[in-house]
Amino acid sequence: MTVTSSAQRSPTDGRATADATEPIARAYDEAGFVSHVRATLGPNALLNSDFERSMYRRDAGILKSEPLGICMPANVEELRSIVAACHRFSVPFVPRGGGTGLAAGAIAGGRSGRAIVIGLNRFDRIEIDPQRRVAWAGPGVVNVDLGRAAAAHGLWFAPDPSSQIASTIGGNVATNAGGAHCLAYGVTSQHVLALDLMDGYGQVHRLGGGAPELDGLDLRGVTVGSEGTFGLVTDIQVRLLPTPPVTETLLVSFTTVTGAAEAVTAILAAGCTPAALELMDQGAVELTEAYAKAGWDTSAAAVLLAEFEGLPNQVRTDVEITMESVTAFGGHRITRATDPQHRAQLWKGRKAVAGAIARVAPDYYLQDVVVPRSALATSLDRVIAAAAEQRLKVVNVFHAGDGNLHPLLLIDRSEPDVEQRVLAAASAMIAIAKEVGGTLSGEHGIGLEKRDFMCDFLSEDDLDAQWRLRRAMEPTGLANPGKVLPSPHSCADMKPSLVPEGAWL
Amino acid sequence: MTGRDPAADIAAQLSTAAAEARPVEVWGGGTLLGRMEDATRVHGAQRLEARPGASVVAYEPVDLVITVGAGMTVHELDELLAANGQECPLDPIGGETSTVGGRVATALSGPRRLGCGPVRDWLLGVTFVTGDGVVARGGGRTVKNVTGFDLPRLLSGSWGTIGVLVDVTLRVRPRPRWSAWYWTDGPVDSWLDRIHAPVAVLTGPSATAVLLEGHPDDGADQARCAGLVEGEAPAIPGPARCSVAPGLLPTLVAELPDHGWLAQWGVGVVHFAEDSDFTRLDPLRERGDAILLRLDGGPEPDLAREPRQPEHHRRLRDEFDPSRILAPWRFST
Repeated sequence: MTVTSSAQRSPTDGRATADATEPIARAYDEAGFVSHVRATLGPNALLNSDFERSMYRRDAGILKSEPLGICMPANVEELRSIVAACHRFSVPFVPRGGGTGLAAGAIAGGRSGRAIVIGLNRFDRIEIDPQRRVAWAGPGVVNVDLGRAAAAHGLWFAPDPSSQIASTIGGNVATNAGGAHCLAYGVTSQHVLALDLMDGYGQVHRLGGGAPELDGLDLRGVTVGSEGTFGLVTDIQVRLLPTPPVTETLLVSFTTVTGAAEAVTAILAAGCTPAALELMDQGAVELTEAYAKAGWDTSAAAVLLAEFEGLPNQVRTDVEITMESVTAFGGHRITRATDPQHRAQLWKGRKAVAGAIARVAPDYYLQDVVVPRSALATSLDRVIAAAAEQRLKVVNVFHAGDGNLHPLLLIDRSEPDVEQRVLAAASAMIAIAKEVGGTLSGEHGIGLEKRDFMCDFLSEDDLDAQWRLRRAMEPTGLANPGKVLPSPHSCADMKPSLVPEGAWL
Repeated sequence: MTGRDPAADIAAQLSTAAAEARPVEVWGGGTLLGRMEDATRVHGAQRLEARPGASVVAYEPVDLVITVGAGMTVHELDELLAANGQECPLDPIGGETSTVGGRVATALSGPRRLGCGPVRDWLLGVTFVTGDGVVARGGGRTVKNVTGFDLPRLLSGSWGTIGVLVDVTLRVRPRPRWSAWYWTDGPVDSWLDRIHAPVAVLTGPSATAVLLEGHPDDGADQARCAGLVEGEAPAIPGPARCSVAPGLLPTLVAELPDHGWLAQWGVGVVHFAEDSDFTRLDPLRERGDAILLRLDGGPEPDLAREPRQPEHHRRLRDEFDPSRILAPWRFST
């Protein structure tokens, strides 16, 4: 990683080579593609041994599908050559960052021939302009590395997905990632000022970053969250925020999960503006406490982590109101972080969940549905029942402030028919979200995993509008095909499956 | 409006217009378009009165989300939210009849954009009708949602070129407990780092107005540290406005006279009085770095010019408005 402080990153060369704009002349030609890439970029430009391909068959989710090969370009020129070759030989490509995605968005499994995975990890330059409070970050920059670089200037990057120690800014842009603090600061889209997008012809376009209004359609805005289906993001300008003067962190125990959920409602109804409101049920607390030793109360039915940031009097008032609200709903054993170290320790209990699971189960499956805040408590009970019905152990950690549930099913794949039971429980959870007016994914994305469930949440006309946007933004159809949107008109006779054709468990 | 279902009614009108290849101008409260060149006269456009209901479709205060008909005025929305101690900081622009649909479609920046963010950041979902008469929804009714691509952002700031809004879902928040305007005549750089997250910094020819929100004691402490003095809300000149990348604002402002303008620092919008000498903006406008909206009843050349990334614009309009009936004279592509 290179960190510099230059004022402004120059726009990437936007010209396409003659080769890149040549219309698709041939049908899918895997052998032609491989030899062309190796001839132009060198023998190591494309990895495709059985071992190498197997390394890229998964992200952090449960689906598998192997790419035809893997490219790890060092710069925009190499990337352009690879994309031009993809176009010439009709080979689809899948952009990939840290591989921490949970919806199989960054694995192959496209519907039109085997795809290559393009790892953007070497695009890892950071340039910070502390005066203007902006930074340019390559898509391969790891989220926490941008945070550390910004902290040197008293600034920070707000999106903080739980995967942040490994997930990349490019991946955060692809999924429009949230995180614990997006309750107050908003999701990734609100922090991306501009981006460079390479289309399926190899041409780079700078989207956004100009005048704040009257400047045409918001191409930057629609690209954030497009899961690599609009092309490859090669550079990203983000907004950095000044470090808040005061932070207060509270940890509160509850005797019932419902009480905790109601307390969350009361805190928000009282006009508080917390930076984060995170809930964990007893199972989750027991799991992480044994691992992280964060001082969380394992006897409580649920534990709420509430954080407030800003100016001292505002924060104090919010904390006072929160104390009253939580007490009214059975909150007790309130721990207040005394210093930054103590705060980090309290957060460790929340952020260590995924790591802690490894102590008790070889694998896990994580859902990401969102329910309206008002339906939080009842939905949670039903989610727990759905897991129990399939004889699966579930722990719940979630962003309570915005209704984003994250039930974690702890599994051992050597158990009989466990995969079928996981899929049945997951489908039931999706049905619950739909019933209460919630949504299919809050922050992980649709990818391959949830693609066919789009039919349950969007009408045929809604999907048609999505396809119009997809076609207009990436006309070649080679960028991450088969992700996010089900084939047009396929909904009518489809029974949705979390394991679509072309992928396996 | 005659039909019962406003979406179906709009769809029928657009289908007819598409069949007749007759351009359509979507009309909300008329607070902006009423001050621009008359499209019915100049472009032979048919005015589509897009007031599809001014009612609440759904509002559960604790969800911090509201869905309203696009025809509701920003003023009505604000009263409704205020009754529950909430707000959606779409500050009204242009007058009392400014509609929510109009605010979303034009996405002009309110005075609080610096602290509250642009309109699109408050927009969670839309129901809209495409140029070929298809009723579609995008986004949803939860604060967090990545179920499909972000269609609401495509509609925000599209100036009636992508679709006609039927209803919109907005994120809302608790109303600030306190707010006050402060003034200073010192240069912004000399005091700004002593103010945490100002909601507005409006720089004029001789003084700067700063809006602080939150807790009064915090406001007073910050103002004292930065040498600001409490005062009245500034009068925002109008009706013209100019949009530039925030980084270019200091260069632009340095060229301006000693009266008749107010700049939204950190945002990049400058408000001008009607009698301003706009030729000073010409060099920036010619380079495409500044976009001027005059609202004096005359033509709006900057809104009609070719946008950056014309190919993307052309393809998006081909998809969402294949007959090119939705304000085809804007963002010429």
